[in-house]
Amino acid sequence: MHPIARILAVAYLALAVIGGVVLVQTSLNYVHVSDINVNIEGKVALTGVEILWNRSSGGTPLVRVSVNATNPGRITIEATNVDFTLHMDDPDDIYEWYDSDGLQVTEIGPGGITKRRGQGFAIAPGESRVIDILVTVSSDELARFDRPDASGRYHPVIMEARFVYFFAGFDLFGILDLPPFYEAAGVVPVG
Amino acid sequence: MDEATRTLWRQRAFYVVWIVVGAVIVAGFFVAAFFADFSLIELGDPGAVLLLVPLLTGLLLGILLTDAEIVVAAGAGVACATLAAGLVAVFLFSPLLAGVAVGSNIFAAFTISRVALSVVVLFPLVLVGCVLGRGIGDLFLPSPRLKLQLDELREETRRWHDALDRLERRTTEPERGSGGPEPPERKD
Repeated sequence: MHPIARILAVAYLALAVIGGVVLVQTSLNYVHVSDINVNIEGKVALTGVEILWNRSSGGTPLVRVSVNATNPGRITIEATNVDFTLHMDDPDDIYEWYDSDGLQVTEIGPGGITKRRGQGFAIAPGESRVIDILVTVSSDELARFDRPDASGRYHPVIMEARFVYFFAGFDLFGILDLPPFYEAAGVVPVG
Repeated sequence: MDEATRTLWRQRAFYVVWIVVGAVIVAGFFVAAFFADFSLIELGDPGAVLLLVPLLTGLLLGILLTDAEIVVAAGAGVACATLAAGLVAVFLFSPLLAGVAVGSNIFAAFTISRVALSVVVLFPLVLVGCVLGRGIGDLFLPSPRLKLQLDELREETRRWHDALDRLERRTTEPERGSGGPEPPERKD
C-alpha cells in the first residue's frame, strides 16, 4: 500500500470509530425517546382538585389542581407546561358535567403552569412527581364558581388538559393530552 | 492451503473489512445528519453531510482498493451502500427491535420511506466516489507491488521494442547474416 494510502486508511478507521459510536448512541437515544413517548400515556393524570377558600370571608378562591406524572422511561424528562380549562359543574342545571353546551356555561377560565427549559420539573426514570398548580378565581368569575350542591360540596371539572415534557439532553419534546377530570364526590373548600 | 491462496483470501478479507468500515461511516453520519435531534454530535449543515460523507467515504474506499480490479471496486461500492442502508434500517427499526414500540401502519410508512430515501441518496454517491477513488489511487497512489508490476511490464515492453528494432536492422542489412532476435525472457 502506498504510504499516503496508509495514512488515508488510518483516517478511514478513525472515521469509522466516530461513525460507529454515533450510530450506536443515536440508536439508543431513539429507543429511549420512543420508549417514553409510547408508554407515558396513562402515566400522567390529574389526581385532585382542592379549593382554598373561606366563603364567608368574601375573598377570592384559589383552586389547587394536582397532576401526577410518572416517568416510564430510562432517561430524565422535564415537565415544562401544564395547561387546562377549569369549569365548575352546576348540580342544579340540566346538563351532565361533560356536556359541551353545559361546559360553555360552567367555564371559569384557563389555568396552568409554564416553566423555562431547565427550570421545569425534572422527573427521573421510574420516579413519580406531583405538580401542583394554583388557579386564582377572579371576582367576575365568582358567580359561575360558587355553585355548591345541597351538601355544600363543589364539583370542579378540568377539561382540555395538556402536559408538555422535554427530554433531558435533547431538543425534543412531547405533548400529552390528559383525560378530563371530574370531582364526582365533591370538594369541601378549605380555608 | 498454499501461500498464493492464503494471500488471495487475506486480500478478500481486507476488502470485506474496508466495505464494512465504510458502511459504518456512511450510516453513522447519515443518521447523525438526518436524525439530528437524537444525535450526540451537532453537524453544521446536515445537507452537506448527507451529500459529502458518502462521496468521500466511497472515494477513500476506492483508494484503498487500488490493487483490485475496477469491477471489484464498483462492487465494493454497491456492497458498502447496501450495508449502510441496512444499518440505517436497523436504526429506524431499533424501537421495534428493542421491544419498546409496536409496529403500526404509520410506523411502517415512516420507516420504509426513510429507508428508501437513504438508498436513493447513498447508492449513487458511494458508487461514484468508489470508482473515482479507484481511478485516483491508480493514477497517484499505486502500491509498491503494483508499481513493481508496472515497472516490469514497461521493462518487458522495452525489451520487445529493442528486439524488434534489432530484427528490423538485420532485415535492412542482409549482409550481416541470418538469425532472428532472441525473444526476451518473460517475467510474470
